[in-house]
Amino acid sequence: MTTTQRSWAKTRTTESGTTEPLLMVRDLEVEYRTKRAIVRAVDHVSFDVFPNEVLGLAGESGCGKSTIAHAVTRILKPPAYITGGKVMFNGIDLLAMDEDNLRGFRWEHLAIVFQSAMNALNPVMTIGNQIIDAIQAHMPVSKRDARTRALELLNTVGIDPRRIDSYPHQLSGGMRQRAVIAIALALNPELIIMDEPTTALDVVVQKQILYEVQQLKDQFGFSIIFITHDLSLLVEISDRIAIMYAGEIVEVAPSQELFRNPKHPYTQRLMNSFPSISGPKQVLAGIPGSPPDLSEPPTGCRFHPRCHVKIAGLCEEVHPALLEVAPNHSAACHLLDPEVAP
Amino acid sequence: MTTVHQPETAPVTDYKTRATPVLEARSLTKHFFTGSALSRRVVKAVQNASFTLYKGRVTALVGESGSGKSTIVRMLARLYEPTSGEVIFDGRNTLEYTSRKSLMHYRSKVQMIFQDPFSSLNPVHKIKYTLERPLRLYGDEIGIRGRAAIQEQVLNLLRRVSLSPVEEIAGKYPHQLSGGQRQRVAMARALAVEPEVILADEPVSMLDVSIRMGILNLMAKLRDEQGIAFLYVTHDLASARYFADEILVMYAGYIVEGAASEDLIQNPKHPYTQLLLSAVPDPSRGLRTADVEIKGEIPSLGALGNGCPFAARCPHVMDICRKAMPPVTTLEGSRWTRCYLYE
Repeated sequence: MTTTQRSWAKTRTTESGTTEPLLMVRDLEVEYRTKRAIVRAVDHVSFDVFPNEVLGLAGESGCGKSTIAHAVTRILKPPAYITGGKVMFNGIDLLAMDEDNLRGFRWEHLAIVFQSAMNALNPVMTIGNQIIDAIQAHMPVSKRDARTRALELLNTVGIDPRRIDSYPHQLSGGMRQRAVIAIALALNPELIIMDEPTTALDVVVQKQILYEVQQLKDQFGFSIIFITHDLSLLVEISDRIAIMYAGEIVEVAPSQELFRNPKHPYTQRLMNSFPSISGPKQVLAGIPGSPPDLSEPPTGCRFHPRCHVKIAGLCEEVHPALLEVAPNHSAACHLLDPEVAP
Repeated sequence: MTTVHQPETAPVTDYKTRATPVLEARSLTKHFFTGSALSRRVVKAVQNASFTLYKGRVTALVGESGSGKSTIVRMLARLYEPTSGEVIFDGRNTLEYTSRKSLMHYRSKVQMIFQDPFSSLNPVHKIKYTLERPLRLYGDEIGIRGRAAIQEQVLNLLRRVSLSPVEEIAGKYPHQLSGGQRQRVAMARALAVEPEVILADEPVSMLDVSIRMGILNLMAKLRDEQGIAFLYVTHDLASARYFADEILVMYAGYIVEGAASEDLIQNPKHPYTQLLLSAVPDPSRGLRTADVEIKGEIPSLGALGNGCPFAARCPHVMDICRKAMPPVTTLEGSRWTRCYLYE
């Protein structure tokens, strides 16, 4: 597939007012190269993140959503390689930046919060010292000033500042995840990537943390890329949502629009895979089959083997481009292309 | 075994209207003892859990991690010895079963499905072997003897869990199957011994979202067509509403409320159930409108006082709540709760 056949995920500003995106990702390609096969985990992915926006990235396991997070922050490790595309952050090309500059750039402008707070924190260091470390690595401040800032940060994320000298194992899962968020906030970054930040937590704690993240975002004005497989959660927290399938973005829309009016057959079926807690009880079918093996992705549209409305002879052959199907709403499906299905 | 392939023609039994108890837990309690002889700590994992599983019905056990759900499952499966209480099956307290033979009989009637289909199947054996094992061990019990009959039954089992082509699947190793297919194999293995009860401990939470419904729908079919009683353990209230006929809510070792699914979802009584429901993501509601002030987390099971474990977080807490655990209060219908608000 050549890039010209695909349109960029066209997006405009949400309520934030500016039209200039903070992060621009264009035709990003990531490959895992093993002896057995080359797996293109992310294939020509393009999207924007605007200031003070929450962009949700949804998809099933193995669809490439975490790989995008790792590629954008340049923390991919071999055998994963970025093989194409551009990642522009406020006009700066992140893929061209060398390691030294990246190290400074990362925590100051761009932070990442991982799924498992248990593994993200150093078990033999108090959480206070871990926050102080992050601050002192980037700013020439005294330990005392850094500690004052750490106390503030703990308070901000809802941890009793008296717990500053606690070790990670002395905190509950929810508190540890808050501590990780505090470290991410330490240098006031413009963008925080949250990769399944609450998946390991219980719903009540999840709600508490998401509510606080939302408040912090409004207070400090940063943007968030929020990655999860839980679409119900994503609709709640995001301004816009990008749906990924087998390494590609197949639909992008404002979250309520996506929830009420999904266009891509995959999104429609995915919406039909989540039981609801309110409203009438419905029979849900899920989606037959399983996500494809990316070392041998299906030809044409990658969703065609599981699609219930595919056009015989077309969807198996031709890859659909991501087209604007409604204002601010793009999808990659031949059925939505006026030239194919008028 | 010929009957299982024509479930469409089988009369739909009125499991829903006529409650036939199969397995009953009576005041099940499990305390774990940790620490040294001098500083012994007691972790009260499950306290006084009583409930009944009925033929052709799904009972969901919902709660946060560490609330004691899996401990209950393990006691019912006779993997943990309860500290006190009874498990009644066929009118007998199964905790009196001590001989290998009676335990084997019990386990053939009460099967388990685990959360992780990647570790619950032996990776060095083909699917065929995994399904032949229970048939060889329990062949006498279920009337399947001889090589040919066993092989035929393996294929039948794969058909029952909608895996096809059956011959091909039978010859595969677990790593050649997807997570959803593996969980179906785990289900086929459980079905092999013709159980009356299946204890399913978070059976879909490790699967991709698009295939979870397929597994839940398959279990619903087994419930409806074969009258299997399910205990569905989950932290996901929305899937419990979808799949279960009755929901039990657990908090810090206690079952605090039990009701028919819709009653519980539409009209939760216990303050903890109310909190849990308000925290479930609901796209039609939106996070920004969340007006719930939620504080605190589930308490440590090693440091529970005498009172209600939810008292510290409860918006309606009264003096008495901190002194003693509220008894079971029966409310309208067959629902009940443990809360002084309804005493």
